[in-house]
Amino acid sequence: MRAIFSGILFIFSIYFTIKGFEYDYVNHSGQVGPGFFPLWIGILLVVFTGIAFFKDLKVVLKEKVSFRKPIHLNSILLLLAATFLFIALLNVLGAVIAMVLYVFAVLLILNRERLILNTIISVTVPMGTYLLLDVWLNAGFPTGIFGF
Amino acid sequence: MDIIENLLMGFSVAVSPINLLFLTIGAFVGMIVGIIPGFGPTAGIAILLSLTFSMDPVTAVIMLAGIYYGSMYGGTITSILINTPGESATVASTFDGYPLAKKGRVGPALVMQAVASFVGGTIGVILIAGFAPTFAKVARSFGPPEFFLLIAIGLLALIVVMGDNKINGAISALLGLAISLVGVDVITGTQRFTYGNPELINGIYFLPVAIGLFGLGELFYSIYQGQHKEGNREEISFKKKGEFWPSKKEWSESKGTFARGSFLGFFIGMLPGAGATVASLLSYSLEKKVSKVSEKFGKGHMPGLVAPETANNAASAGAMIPLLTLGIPGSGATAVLLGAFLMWGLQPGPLMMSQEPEFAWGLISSMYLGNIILILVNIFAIPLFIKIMRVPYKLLVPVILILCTVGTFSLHGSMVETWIMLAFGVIGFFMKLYDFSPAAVVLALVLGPMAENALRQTLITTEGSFLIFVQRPVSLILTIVILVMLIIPFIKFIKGLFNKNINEDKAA
Repeated sequence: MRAIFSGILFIFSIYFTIKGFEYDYVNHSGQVGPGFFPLWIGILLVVFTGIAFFKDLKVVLKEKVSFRKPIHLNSILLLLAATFLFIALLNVLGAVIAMVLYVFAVLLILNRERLILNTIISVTVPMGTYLLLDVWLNAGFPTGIFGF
Repeated sequence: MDIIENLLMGFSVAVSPINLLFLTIGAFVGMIVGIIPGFGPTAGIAILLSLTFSMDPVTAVIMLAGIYYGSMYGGTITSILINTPGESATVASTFDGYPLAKKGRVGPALVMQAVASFVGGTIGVILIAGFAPTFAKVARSFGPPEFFLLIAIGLLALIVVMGDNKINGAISALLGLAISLVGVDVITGTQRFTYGNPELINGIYFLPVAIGLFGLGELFYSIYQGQHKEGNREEISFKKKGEFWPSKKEWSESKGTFARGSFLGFFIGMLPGAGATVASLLSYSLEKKVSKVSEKFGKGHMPGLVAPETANNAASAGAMIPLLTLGIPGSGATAVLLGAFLMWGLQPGPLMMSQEPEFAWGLISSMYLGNIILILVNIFAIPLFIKIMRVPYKLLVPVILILCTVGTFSLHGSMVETWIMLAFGVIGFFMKLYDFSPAAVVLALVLGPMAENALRQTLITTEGSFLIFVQRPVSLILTIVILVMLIIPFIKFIKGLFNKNINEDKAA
């Protein structure tokens, strides 16, 4: 997994550096241009992520590290999916309904056994957040198709 | 005399009923944030910043200062009771804090950590009041070359303190700098890395990145470690009726530690990049070295708890010096604070002490008041915080998630920023998992535009010549510092290679 992460960083660094070439290194008046920083940061990123990637790759090849699924990976993936859906539906359902459903979903992932407690928290936490941020602090929560 | 007058003026700003109320709320909320495993001052300020938007800037910043200090205090409670530091700056507090609790000295350990935090924080604030004006005066003579070099030192220091993971530290800082380049180039007006998206023209705002890295990232990491499963905490019970106050012997043993920890912590905190974690660890090892009973350390010796606690709180105060006088944050938490200042149109830097004295001294005084409030809250509300600590982590998860997502949306009502926060939550999880530095990303993201502007202004005045960095006396000193910081790890690396070859030859 580590090598995959450093590999992704390495590929990103190469892309960032190539993209950096699109901007002028020196501008029309001979001064340092908008491409100066992107290029140098990109080059340094390629160097450092390259070192990290090849170091990690060496470990994988030498020790034949096999991929072990982390124990709580499912919980993390489900939480991530719930958060993704929550953000996607924020403008559609409106903040209040989306928050209630989101908190309920999160508790269903982590605390499946206690449905009554989950239901109470699913209503009180979003309501508290709504009253604090939207009513008191005028945060401007999205209203969605239901108008609230 | 000036200092006392300025401090009195600061108190006149800070001591209004509304400011005191929000300072207390900030300190209280900060304590709760500190108790949550993995969440420290940076996460606390980043996540809760959205709560301060509709406030008066002075009140808002005073509340944030309360959160900053409160989370430092709160992080230690879990270090003592469940051997789990709230964040890295309280790791050293577990060395003797937890053994003390195991020996049945829970009450005295909790009281002593509160007193140590108070002493460290108070001495730190007094030193800020003494040093900040002098620093600001010196900094007024700095031009773009000096600012660029100072920022470079700040970022390099952050990499140097990463220990064995310097490469990861460098990658983290460079990633932050890369993200900071998104948006319109202020000098030529060229759009960089915006892909035609109008929401990216002003660049990637640092706060969604910070909330993602420190809020969501930490949360995912805690779940990865199984924090949400009950029964994995070996908590030591706290009985209020038992021994509560430290003994006379414990007070007298820790007398010198209070002073040493505070001064060491403050001066280390002033150094960019070093911060409270390094200060607490160094203070612990210093105390162990000077102690006549060093064998008692690690087995529940009170000075072993006092040393890191005074140091980490004094370091938090010390970190305010570069922020207030140079406008250059030295840690993740002060980077987020800087972002908050800028959001309210306040530009920390050499001129702030003279142009915005009410704000600057109000903030310094509020830090002092924050310490007083925190020691009271700490001693009298310990049972309450222990109850909060017992709330299962899995029930805190939805609260944190809601605050992260809805809090980010509330910043500018932007869905793009909310998605950015989620993306950095995932990146933050992997960074934490593989020993990268989320603090370096945030710090570089905040410092990046300043560094680029300072360098380009410098090169415009010199017509592209880098010689200015060795021609001005202050620049020359700073350049030498940078070279030393670069050369020492390189020499160590070569030495390591050399030793490795010798060992391999011997083995052969």
